[in-house]
Amino acid sequence: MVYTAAATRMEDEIQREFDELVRRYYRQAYNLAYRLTGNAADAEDLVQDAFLRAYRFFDRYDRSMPFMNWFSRIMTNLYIDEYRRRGRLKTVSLDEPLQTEDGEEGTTLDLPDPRLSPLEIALDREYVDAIHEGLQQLAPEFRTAVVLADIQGHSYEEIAEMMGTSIGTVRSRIHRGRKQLRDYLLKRHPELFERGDLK
Amino acid sequence: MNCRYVQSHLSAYIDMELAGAEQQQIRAHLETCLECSAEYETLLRVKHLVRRLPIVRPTCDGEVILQRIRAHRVVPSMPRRLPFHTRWWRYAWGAVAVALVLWLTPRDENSPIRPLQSDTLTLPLTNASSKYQFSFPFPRQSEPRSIISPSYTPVHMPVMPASFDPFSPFMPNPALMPVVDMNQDRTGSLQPVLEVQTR
Repeated sequence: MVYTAAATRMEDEIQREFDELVRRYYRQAYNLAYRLTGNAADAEDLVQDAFLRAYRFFDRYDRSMPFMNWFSRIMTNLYIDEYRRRGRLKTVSLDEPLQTEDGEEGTTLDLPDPRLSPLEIALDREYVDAIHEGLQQLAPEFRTAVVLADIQGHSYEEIAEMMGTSIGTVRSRIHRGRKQLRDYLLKRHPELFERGDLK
Repeated sequence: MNCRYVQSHLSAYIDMELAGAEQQQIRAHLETCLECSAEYETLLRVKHLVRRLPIVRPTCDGEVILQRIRAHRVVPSMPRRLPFHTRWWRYAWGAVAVALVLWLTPRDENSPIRPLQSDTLTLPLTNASSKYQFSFPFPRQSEPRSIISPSYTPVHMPVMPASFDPFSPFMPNPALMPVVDMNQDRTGSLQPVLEVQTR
């Protein structure tokens, strides 16, 4: 049938385009998921769920926009709505002693690939873990806003659109998130805030 | 510009998300205020630390995600189109229905083309102030004539049964289709027949 052939070709094309996007952005997506969820198992689930949802609603993807803008929106909404509803978010109190990362977690946090960004080598492993832990102490909304702004490099306007809030809310979430993270890090690693050339 | 205001806007200032004038005012304040500039330094440091978190290496491959998506048998959403062989007769029946409606509606009183009409059957409506007439088209001996105004032209409007589905393969029987007599005035708007003489 002409119709069947055309439909199959159309499906194939969409499939190929989607596969290409997954391959290209998978690493970045996983990184975002890992920083949001805080551990490898949840990050894997979140990435998979987000890509599934992206695939299902692929016709809504505006090709004139960067894929990661659209995809980050799907992922952060999925993370905030669904993972919180399911009670999968670990909320750790600030007074609780720090959990040292075990071997399984350690394998997920590899040393940075020097080909990607030479700047990333600068931070000690100890500090990387501390910042990551500190991010996990924040409320999900604060963490999401901070991660989207500082790791993904989105503007406040883009974050507001992704999180479905006003720019004022984004501003206050980022500000409060950074202040809480600073207090957390100041308590544990005050040397990070000594004058230095860390830029 | 006081310290409290400046400190609440420091994150937005760091991210250059303030209006130009505000950005300059805060910069000027930071040059003079030691406390605010200390706060600014620590928040800026937090941003840089988060930005320097290494990109995490995914625990599973992107291909695995793609395989799982296919295993879920999710169909990507695309514009839904019915196969042509199930579409064409819907349009055909729709065209037939439209043609029939046009044929049953004479354009003027003296038109030689007259629909077959039966004796008028007057049915009182619950709204007693006006009386719609329902008549059956086969065969009609007398013409309803308006006595309200000679400028009115009686129009027989076939009424589609409520159950009529233009996309159904089964055509409604025109003989069973009721006709409403309406008066058309000079402007072309239709008025229900209030009183009708039949011979």
